[in-house]
Amino acid sequence: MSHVNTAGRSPRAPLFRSDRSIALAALASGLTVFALDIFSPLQGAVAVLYTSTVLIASWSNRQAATVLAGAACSLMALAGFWYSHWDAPLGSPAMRLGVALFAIAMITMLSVRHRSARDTLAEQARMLELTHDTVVVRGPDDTILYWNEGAERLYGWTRAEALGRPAQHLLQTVSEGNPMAAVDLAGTWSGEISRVRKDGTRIVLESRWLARRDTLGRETGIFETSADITRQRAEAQARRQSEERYHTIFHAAGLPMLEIDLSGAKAAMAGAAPQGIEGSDGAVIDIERVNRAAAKSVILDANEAAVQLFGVNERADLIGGSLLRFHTPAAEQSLGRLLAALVAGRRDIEEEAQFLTESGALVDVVTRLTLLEDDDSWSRLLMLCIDVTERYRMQRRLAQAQNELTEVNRTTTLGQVAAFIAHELNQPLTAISAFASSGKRWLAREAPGAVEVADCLDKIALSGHRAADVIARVRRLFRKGETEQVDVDMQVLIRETAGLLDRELRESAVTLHLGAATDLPRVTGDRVLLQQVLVNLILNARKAMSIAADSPRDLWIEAARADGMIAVDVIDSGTGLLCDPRQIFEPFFSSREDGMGIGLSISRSIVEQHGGTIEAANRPEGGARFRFSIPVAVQTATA
Amino acid sequence: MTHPSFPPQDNPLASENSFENRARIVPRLIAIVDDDPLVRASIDSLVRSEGLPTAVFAGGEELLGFDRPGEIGCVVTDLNMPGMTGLELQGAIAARGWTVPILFMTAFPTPEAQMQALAAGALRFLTKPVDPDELLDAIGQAIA
Repeated sequence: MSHVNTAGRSPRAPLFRSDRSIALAALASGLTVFALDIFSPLQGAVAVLYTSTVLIASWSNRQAATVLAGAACSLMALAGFWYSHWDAPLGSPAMRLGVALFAIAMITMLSVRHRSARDTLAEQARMLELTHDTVVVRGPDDTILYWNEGAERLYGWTRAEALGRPAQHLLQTVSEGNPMAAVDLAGTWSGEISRVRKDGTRIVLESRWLARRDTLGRETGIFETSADITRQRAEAQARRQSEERYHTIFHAAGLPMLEIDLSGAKAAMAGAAPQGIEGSDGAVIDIERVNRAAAKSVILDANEAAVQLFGVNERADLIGGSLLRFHTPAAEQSLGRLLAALVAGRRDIEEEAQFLTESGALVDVVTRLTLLEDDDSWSRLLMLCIDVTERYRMQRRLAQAQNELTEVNRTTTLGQVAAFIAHELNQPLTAISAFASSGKRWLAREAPGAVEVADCLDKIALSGHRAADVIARVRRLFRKGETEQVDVDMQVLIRETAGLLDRELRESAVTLHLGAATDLPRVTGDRVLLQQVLVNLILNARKAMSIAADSPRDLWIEAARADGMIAVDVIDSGTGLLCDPRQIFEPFFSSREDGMGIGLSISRSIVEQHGGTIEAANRPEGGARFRFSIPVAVQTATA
Repeated sequence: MTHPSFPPQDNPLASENSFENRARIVPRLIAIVDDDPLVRASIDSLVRSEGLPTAVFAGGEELLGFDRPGEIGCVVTDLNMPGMTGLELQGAIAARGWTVPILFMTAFPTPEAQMQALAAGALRFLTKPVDPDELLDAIGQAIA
């Protein structure tokens, strides 16, 4: 900084350190000249010496002082003349006074002008040093005449190294076109050049050249200022390449991509508190507002894959339009969540949506929205759409097949039992009925056929035995000893069963809550039969909760140890039991029209066969609770 | 099993089946097809108690091998049998050009089977346990 300061201060005679001493010196000088003028025999010739007083005064920083000194000296010269020659006729003393006054006036004027010129130059020099840009002055022979601090910093050459060297040799300037010719022609040139620094690296500069001319307009070199734009150029280049890469990817990608402007939508969403439209949290989405916002979306660009997805002919059919054109009611919720996420300040959002294509087909997509601009204007967003229609269709088909399978399974299990009983009992019943009728007819004949009647009665008895056999066989199906007896971990069984019915529960929007109890002792029994109990109870709960459309659908399954038993609670939030809870375990009792009424009855048979109990109750807070308890396995109970 | 059994008395065929009258005689033999011996025997007894001649078969194949099909006035058959089902038997009878009324009995009726049987010309489709009077009525209609 000291450098700059000294350069900025006006040069001053070392003799005088202050305006005060300058004033004293000027005063002394003036009085001396006055005394000489009056008392010397030179008769006014010394008056010219007043110019020295003016010059002394001009060393001060004040122009007024110079002017004042000039005026005072002129007055003193006039006073000297009047004192010595007031009565003499005009002659050579008057001529000498005139010369002296003229000299004083000239010196005063020149001093003042020099003063302001010096100030301006000093100011300019200071500015040249202050600027971060380089300032270089080159002579007509390309010699470097001036080299500022900015040039030292940028090029690496010090002023001492640079001054006097040919600029081209030092800097190896490369430019487009011919700047010298332009300067010759127009006196000025500006543009980009590249130069080499002292360390050998080439840099890019934004440069302005100005012809330096003397008073006659002859060119005396070039005054130039340059700024380093190497970094900006590199960044701009990188940006351009990145942008080009983005565009290549955008248009070449097989994934449908859109660029959309949601700034209008943002305005429409303005004032909507994020929590007010947070769809995923179950809060109400203001669909009206969402639709208004969607109508203001503008498609800025689209790629070929998007053209195909939306079923339009070309990109131009999409660009400039609104997403609302492909809107479906099902998409409203997802669009609402999407906008809510944007309002909440998220920058990457993924959401499932559904669009109606131009050809009228419904497509399921997973959309991913990314803000491209850093600002918060939503003016440019990238929307990626992954077509999952086929995947969803597969899923639905799978779910349907699974449903059918479960249903078939259930009806076959129960249906098989029913069919078996029906068929096996119908046969002997048919026989009994026919034999009885037949026997009566034989008896009624004119000659009763005693042998035939006896045969009929025998067969009736036989058929009765056979019917009893059927019942015994059905009973045996569920009798202990004929079923599998293994150690069953009830919690594992619950988890497996819940997994089996996962699809059904999700279809009915039932939320499953599994108990967290651990290390429960095992029970002994038939896995398949115990699972059948769980399946029956779970499906029963699901049915009970499906009746009311708006009731909560929560299903809790908890296993706990209680008095040497494992108690399993299946609790639902449905309508509860409308009848006597004891009644529902009776066979062929059903509160539902489509129910066969044997699910719960079979469940009771299985539980009782395992030495357990099953009961049902309504919960005070709504819904029903089914609890079955199975004794803990002997070895684990004693262990 | 293909043993036509006749009522001990009042055998219409025995008295009326003379060579010259044959052409105008309505066939009255009741063919009973059921794989369940008890059911088969009970229907046989019932029909005979009404004074009609019977022939019992344990399955459709046996009936198709019967050597006097022309005498059969009505077929009473079970629907679900191992081997040939009642519906297959109905088809086979039609394929042979026998124009004989068929009555179905089943312990496991399905709407599909019922529709198929009736569409193919079955006279009745009865559900087990069968009401004996209803069965005899149907047989009476078949041979009337």
